[in-house]
Amino acid sequence: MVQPDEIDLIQRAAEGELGADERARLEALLQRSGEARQMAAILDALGPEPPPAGEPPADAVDEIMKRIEALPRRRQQISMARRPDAAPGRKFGNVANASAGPRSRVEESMSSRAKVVWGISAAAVVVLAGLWIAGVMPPSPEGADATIGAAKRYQAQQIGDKDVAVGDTRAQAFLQSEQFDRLLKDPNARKMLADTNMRGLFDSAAMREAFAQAEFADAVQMIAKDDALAAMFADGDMVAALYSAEVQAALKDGDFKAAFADDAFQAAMNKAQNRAGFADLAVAFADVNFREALLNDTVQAALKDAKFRGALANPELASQLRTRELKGAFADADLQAALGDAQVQAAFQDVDVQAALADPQMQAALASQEVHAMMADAETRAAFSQLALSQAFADDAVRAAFSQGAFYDVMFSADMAAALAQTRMREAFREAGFQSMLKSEAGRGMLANADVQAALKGSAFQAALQHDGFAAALKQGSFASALSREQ
Amino acid sequence: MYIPLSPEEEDSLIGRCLDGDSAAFEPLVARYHRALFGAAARLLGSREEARDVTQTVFLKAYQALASCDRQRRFFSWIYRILLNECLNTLRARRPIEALPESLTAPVPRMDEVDQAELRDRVRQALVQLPETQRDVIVLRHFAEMSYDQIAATLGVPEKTVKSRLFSARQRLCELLSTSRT
Repeated sequence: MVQPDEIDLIQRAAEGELGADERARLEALLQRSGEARQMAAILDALGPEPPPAGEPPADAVDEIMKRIEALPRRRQQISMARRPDAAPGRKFGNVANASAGPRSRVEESMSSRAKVVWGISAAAVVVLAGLWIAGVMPPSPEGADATIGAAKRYQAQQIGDKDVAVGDTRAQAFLQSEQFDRLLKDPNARKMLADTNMRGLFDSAAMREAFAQAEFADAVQMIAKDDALAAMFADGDMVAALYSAEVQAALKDGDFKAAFADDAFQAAMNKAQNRAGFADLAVAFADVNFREALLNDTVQAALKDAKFRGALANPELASQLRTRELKGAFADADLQAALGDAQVQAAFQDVDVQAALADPQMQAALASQEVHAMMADAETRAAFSQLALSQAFADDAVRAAFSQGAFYDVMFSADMAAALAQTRMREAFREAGFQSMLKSEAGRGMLANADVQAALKGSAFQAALQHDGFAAALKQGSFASALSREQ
Repeated sequence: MYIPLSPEEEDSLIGRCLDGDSAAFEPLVARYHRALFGAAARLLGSREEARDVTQTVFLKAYQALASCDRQRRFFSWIYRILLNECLNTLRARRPIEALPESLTAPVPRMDEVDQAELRDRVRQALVQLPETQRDVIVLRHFAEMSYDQIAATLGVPEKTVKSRLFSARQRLCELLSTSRT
């Protein structure tokens, strides 16, 4: 078994730390001990040795940096809203926020060169991304028969030293790529790349990085393919709006992005009438009460009701709703409680009630303080809930009588109230004979006669009235004559 | 040869990377790529695999840069990532086999094939070592670091490095000993 000091000897040998004497000791050890030889072989296998196949690849660092630069930036990504007139199902992809701030150098370039950017062909955009990441300045469109490095597949103007860094392996790789071949064959791309303004647009690491991102490239392609959309982005006002601090802040807001990405919202914005009213709605949204109201379940349920929306759309009602009195009324807790009462709600849904409320006379009555006082009385409300009374008032003659001041005064006089308080009196009014007497002028005249009234009050007459024979005698003409002779 | 950047340089470059300046990562790649590639090549025994693993390691490091402890050296952090990648690759290979008996012969005569096979088995055995022992083996034998550089990388005294190296080699021999078969 190899001893600890011998293990140390073997290990120090692996480090190249042995002197002459120790090397001799080691040789002797290795001669006699298989275990020591095994250990030495293992440590020898660990020993410094050249890499299996030479030095690292020369372009390894460049390759690594190329992959790193192709990674998404350490930023949020934004979603663009559906273009108002876009076909259904069409959406923008996510667009990387390439700006470093409210008005970065990139945005300053874009604001003045947007027309050029958005007018390019889609293929050129994709190719450009690869081109600029590789750091290759594009050739001039004027043709020349020359080749660059190992790229011998095309006819192109020779690129000078100042255009391409000699030995730039990324550039070399790009020059041999399909993308570069397509670029040269694309007349739009060649023309655009000859534009110094266009080239200046990409004179920004941030811009190049943005174009390197697939999602950003997809969005640019979509814009470039759509004439109307490209025109929109070429509009100075639109671009200025996009670069305003407020819009920038909004575009970065998570809730805003979520809202614009919502299918229902996009469908709503696809409708012309919604877009027309959106500006007004946006003003309303500045009010926190309005926003909170829209989030309220009850309000949302009400807004789903077509009749409710119709009422809100009524200009007259809308005008009324703006009055201080009505707003105050709706703020009244009692009214709110009443409107929340199921019976009240049922009443308002009754077509007869609706018709009555539409009657100007009813409206006038409801506006009367006296009516309010009357209806505040429980007994009165109970009386008006009686079917007989409602039927009576359905009679035009009754309503006409009550509209007469004198009748009104009699019916509500203390004497009449006392008379009606008596059961027998109320029964008399139900008597057909009494009703007939009231209907006849002679009968009403008799009741109005002071002598009759005095006699009716007398106990003798009342006693005689109780006698059944008295009624029969009154029918006899001789009895009436006798009574008159007595006088 | 491993020549690290100064701590201040590393910290500055990392800070710029985290601010979004990806180009600031290039000096870190350029400085440490060779050491990491060499370690990977020796561990894996393949130039192509080492190239792929090293590239992956730098990408992962860049993406996870926010988790790098800037109080410590960047290389010690990225080396850990490399080691894990290499070990994952090694684990996917065949398990450890005992050394051939030819090693115990009075005068071992190994041709190149035997030597290559031995190196391969040694790499496999590294997977079985405890992390502290594995670190020193890899940094000493595969990254060609000096004791003081290993000490700085691992944040331990030089004496500890030597002690761990001793134990690691011994453990490696035990793992590969023919007596275990």
